[in-house]
Amino acid sequence: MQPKYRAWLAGAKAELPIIMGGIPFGIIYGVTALKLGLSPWFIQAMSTIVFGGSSQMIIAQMFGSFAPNLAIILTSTVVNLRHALYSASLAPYVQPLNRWWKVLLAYLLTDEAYAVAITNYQERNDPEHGHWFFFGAGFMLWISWQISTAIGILVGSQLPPMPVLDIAAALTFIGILIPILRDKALIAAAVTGASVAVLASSLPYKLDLMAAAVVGIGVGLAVEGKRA
Amino acid sequence: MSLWLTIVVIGLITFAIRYSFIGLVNNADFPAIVQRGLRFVPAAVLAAIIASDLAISNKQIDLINSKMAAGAIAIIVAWYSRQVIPTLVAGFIVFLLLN
Repeated sequence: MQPKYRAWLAGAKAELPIIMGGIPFGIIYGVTALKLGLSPWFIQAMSTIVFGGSSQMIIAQMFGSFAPNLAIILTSTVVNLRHALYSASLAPYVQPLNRWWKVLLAYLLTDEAYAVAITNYQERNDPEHGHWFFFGAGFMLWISWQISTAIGILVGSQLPPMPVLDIAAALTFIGILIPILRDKALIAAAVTGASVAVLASSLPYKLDLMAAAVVGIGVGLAVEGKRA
Repeated sequence: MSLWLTIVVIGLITFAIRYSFIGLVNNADFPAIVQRGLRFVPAAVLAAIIASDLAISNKQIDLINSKMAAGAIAIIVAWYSRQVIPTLVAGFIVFLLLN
């Protein structure tokens, strides 16, 4: 097998445990949006056009309560703002790619794909095929999101709840996060990020994540600066 | 129809946010402090997602629960194994034992 396909498969495989947690979320989205009175095709199209779980959930709720369109647009923009940080952190690695690759990877850029793609870029020394790894991971999440949305629309409310899947994504992220904490500054950034996320949990629109990222970066820089 | 138009606009904005730095900026032009700061994005964001998944239930802070216990064991296993699958399995086992 060619190295690029091997990289794609490795990315797809790395994404699998995260998908365990993503599938129930997709089903819940499908069921909830249906209950809010949105049409099946519209619900499915949102998963393709927007492709962002948290924002789709909030958009569906706002449509359901007949919020003004402009408010819905602004809210989903704030919810997805954190992706700009991911975009900036991936930028140096995807710089050599052509425009179509950048468009493809940007479309597939979610929390879940970012987690495995950036750690692959940082940890593994295969810069030549990192984008294939990213593509594999992003594609797996994308296809599972489309399918789980459809399951939610078609059969969702009849499925039994499986609480163990609630923690699959968090446990996978722990497995990805811990090995990248190689120095004190990175550990400080992580501990700060976690603490701020909990303290700021009442913030709406995923701004808790944004606050955690910004304060975490600041503390990481401060700890690094003190040492240097 | 305005429903569909709204979704298309949201899709375009979401894509523009994700494409922003990937597509338009030459990263070498970033100030040095920004380049150094970006190194901390994965650590800060992943830790934040983990913490809000495990310690927040129904918008309330809840630090003592089976999810936190599973997370704590998972952190220990991840520290020594450096791998995702053993981490996931250990966390699942603790969570299932406590539920």
